[in-house]
Amino acid sequence: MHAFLPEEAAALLFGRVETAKRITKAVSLRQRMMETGSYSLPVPQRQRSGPPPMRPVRALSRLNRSTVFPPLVVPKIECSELSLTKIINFVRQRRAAGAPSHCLLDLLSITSGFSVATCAELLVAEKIIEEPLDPIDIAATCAARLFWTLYAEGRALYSEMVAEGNVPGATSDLAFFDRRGLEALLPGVILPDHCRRREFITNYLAESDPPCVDLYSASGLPLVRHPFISTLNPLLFGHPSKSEIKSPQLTL
Amino acid sequence: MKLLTDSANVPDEVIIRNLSDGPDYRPDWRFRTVQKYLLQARSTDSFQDSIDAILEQEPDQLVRQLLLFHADRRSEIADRIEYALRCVRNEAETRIAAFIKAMIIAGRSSQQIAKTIGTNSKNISAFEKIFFDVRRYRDNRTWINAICSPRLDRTTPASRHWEKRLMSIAFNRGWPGLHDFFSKPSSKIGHLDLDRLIRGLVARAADFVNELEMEGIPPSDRDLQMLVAAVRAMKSPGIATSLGDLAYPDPEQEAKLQGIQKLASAYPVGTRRRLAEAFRIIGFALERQAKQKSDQSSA
Repeated sequence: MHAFLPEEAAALLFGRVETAKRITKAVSLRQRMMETGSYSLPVPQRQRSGPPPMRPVRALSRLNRSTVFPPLVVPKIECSELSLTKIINFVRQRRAAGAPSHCLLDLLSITSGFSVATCAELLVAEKIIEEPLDPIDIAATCAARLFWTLYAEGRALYSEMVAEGNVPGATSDLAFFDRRGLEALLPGVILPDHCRRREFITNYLAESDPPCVDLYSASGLPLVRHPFISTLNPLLFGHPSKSEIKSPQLTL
Repeated sequence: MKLLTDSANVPDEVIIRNLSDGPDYRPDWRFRTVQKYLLQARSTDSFQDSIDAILEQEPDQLVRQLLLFHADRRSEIADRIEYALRCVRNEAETRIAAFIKAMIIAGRSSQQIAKTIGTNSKNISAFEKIFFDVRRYRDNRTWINAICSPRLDRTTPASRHWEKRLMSIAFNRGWPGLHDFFSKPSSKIGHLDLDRLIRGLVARAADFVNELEMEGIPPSDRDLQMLVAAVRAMKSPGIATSLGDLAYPDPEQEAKLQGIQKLASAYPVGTRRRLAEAFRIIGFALERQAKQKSDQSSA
């Protein structure tokens, strides 16, 4: 009985059953701490680099997904050229290798530092592409580039957190975002209530079919997948197919 | 979101070369001009002939050199141009471009910047002329403030936000404020010393209030809550603020006072005291003399 404080003893005698349970638990814990002399458990040692995190089971519905389509462009462009003439020669080589128009626009814009509008006109002026790019395609390409710029920042932030030991390291392409950061990364995404968090860890899976961003809570709890399916590619989605253009059906 | 320092829609843009010609003067006007020229030249059948024609008309030396560089012809300052272009291409990783811009705002010379960054002053000068031609307008504080405080949306990459913050510090606190970033902590154990910590937090609090005004946020009851909290916080370290201190200083008077303080700081305290005493005695003698003269004339 001496283990109980006076107010605890009083509450045990005259209080509710829940209060009595809480006090009993607190007292037993206090006694254990006094007996062992240890007041807290050691901090669990996190693995510095572990296997890829377990994937979320659920996927976002199509209507709740973002309109951004990152597979449109390559995550990082490698080109050491600085003068426009040399860059244009490099773009021509990529064209000869079969790179699509929007990728050439992205390549030219990133390597030259010129505005996207100028680059779109340059591609036509240089006769690298025959038709001017559609403004919607240009916007989709810019959005995809922004995705990779922001993802690189999130990736750097995640690496810092791993170095500080705040989050476990993994072999995947992980990045860290706060809520606003995630909204900027995936504009227009609507997360279900149970998946909303202040901070997120994301994992971009380029190899999966389709490419996908998996969302996790900051503690590593799998939340939801955001797949980027090819049928929702903004360069194709909502555009008439080639067969429709070749043989338009007349309706009276 | 277009920034004043962004290279946005160049093809149809009228490029202004001097602030006096229009408020939409952009610090990277040379880079924009070259973009426009290159697009013009590439749209013609003979690219090199078009470049020759443009070079004949263009008076700006750096625009000419940048055009030559991009046309893959011999530029006398190719190495400097390369340095400047690399600064911008890698700005997200190295952030050197943001540092240079902030130091220009803080009034550092290209030699001083070069020493801090670890390059030569010619490279800095080339960067400045191509991407951040603001030095000649440093006295136009309203315009410089607009350059230092662009409106950024949430999709703007972090490097841009960082650049804005750095330029804002340079504008509000000048080189001493910016230098705190580069200088090593004065404490022996390697941590920030307490003065530096308090100084930084007070400056950030002042920046917060400035930002509220710059963003056009209307006054609210939150301002009153913050005022009460600030007054309470000032009481414990014994910072006293009288109503006189809160009067907005007259900018011209303040500049004059700063000039006097600068002049006085050249002398040691003892000399200043002796000078003050001498001026007091001379002033008193002059007053007495004037009074005697006025008495004689009235008599």
